[in-house]
Amino acid sequence: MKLPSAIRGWLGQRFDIDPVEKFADEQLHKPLPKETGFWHTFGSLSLFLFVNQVVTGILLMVYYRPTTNAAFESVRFIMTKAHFGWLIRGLHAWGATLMILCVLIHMTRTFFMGAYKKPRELTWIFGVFILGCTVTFGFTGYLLPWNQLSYWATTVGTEITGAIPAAGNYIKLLLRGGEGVTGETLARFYVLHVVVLPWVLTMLIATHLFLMRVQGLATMERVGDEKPIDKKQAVPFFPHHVLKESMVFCGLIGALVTLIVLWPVELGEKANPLVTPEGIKPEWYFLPTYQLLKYFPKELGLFVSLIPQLLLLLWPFLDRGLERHPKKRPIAVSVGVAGLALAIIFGVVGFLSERHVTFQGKHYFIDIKGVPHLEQNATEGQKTAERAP
Amino acid sequence: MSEETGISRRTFLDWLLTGGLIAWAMGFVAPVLSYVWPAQKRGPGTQTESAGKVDDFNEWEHKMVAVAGQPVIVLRTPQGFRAFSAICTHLGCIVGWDAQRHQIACPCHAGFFDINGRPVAGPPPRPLAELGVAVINGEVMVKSA
Repeated sequence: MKLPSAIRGWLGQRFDIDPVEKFADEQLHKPLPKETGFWHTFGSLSLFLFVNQVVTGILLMVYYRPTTNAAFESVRFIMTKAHFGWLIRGLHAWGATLMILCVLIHMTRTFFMGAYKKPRELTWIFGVFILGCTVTFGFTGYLLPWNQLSYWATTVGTEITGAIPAAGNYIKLLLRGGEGVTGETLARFYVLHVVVLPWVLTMLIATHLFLMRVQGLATMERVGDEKPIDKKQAVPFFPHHVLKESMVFCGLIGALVTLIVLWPVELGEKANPLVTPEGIKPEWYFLPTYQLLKYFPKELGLFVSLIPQLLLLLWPFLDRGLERHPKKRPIAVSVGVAGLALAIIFGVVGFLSERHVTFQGKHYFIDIKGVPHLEQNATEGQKTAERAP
Repeated sequence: MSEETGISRRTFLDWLLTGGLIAWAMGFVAPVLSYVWPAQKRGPGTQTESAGKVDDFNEWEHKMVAVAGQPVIVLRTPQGFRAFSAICTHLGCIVGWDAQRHQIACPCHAGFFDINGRPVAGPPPRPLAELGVAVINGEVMVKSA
């Protein structure tokens, strides 16, 4: 990679730019293993979506006011009065959902291809922290519009932290800034969302990328048997992989705009601390945990819900086999498939629970634990509710 | 001297320096932690709020009122008025009145409480906190705990 000669000449008189150019050139043309394909683009997509979150977040901050009196109205102003405000908020809200999805797909790919194994355990651990940080972004950002759903989802979510033995109530108090969810909570979540978490995530991503670049992408060879990448078979990062990423970026932008247009992000009603609406549900990525918590008493539920996260964090140290190919790792693959299936099942049950549904002409009420109960006489109101989107 | 105690002067100074650095860092961390710790407001011990006139309530009717900033559900039962904290003991949602079941219901996770505030169905682990109610000059007065 060469800089334009005029700029190069100017800089060259002041700095020794040859090593910098050499480093940039090596990075740009770094050979990637022959297995590198479209599944490897989800890491870059997550990064692209993070940049999208930062840019749209800064734009939203221009009009957003983090107080209980003005938050809801300022978001409504963004949606209805500010030019393209609906688009900016849509990009931010749908971007958050897609970012979590991309991080999850990226981690799933890493898991099944055994890329977390030695010597890349730290890269995986930083990835798990990136996932945690991304989800925390979602949780803190959800409250900011100060509407009924966000208010009550935050009330329930922060109440759950109170179940942590010994320190729970202190953590809850610290998070909320008082006993209940109030303007203090909004201010705290705002500071976390726009100042603390962006820096934390930037550091985590920088370290993750640094480790990935230093150690290179994992191949499918056994741990300890990795051979240097054969340059004849290798995929050059530029232009081959960058082209692949560009194609997926285009698809992602198309998907993002389609989602914003077809399913605009709604604002709902302003938060009312005296009335809890029916059907409070967390965002989709919390649904499996939300449903899991219902089957256990509060403290035990919290412990059980921590198990998948701990497993994820410690997995590189639990699975110490040398094979990377999924066909040669039946136990790890079974655990992965079972974990994914459970997450999807609990998520779907969590989504359907406490709802009236119609299936093959019959009306059912699905209770808190996901058990359907046949309703003999569904009222007109319930039938209307079922038809509602 | 150092041979007698087994600790060299260098080790001792290392400890002293490390301890000093930790204490110095704590000097920064402690005020930050105490700053983010919520400042507790200390208002009057109890507060009394009117829930309306006795005639505003028919039997088995309820009203939601805010007492000392906290939501309270006031019921008129055949035995008299009862008032409970409207914050569900499960996950903090606001309970309402289920007129058909004559029970207090939580809309979040289908928790139900009887008219004494005791949990009878669903996940709530504890009864709702009861508040004092008195009728003074035809006015239903609720007293915060």
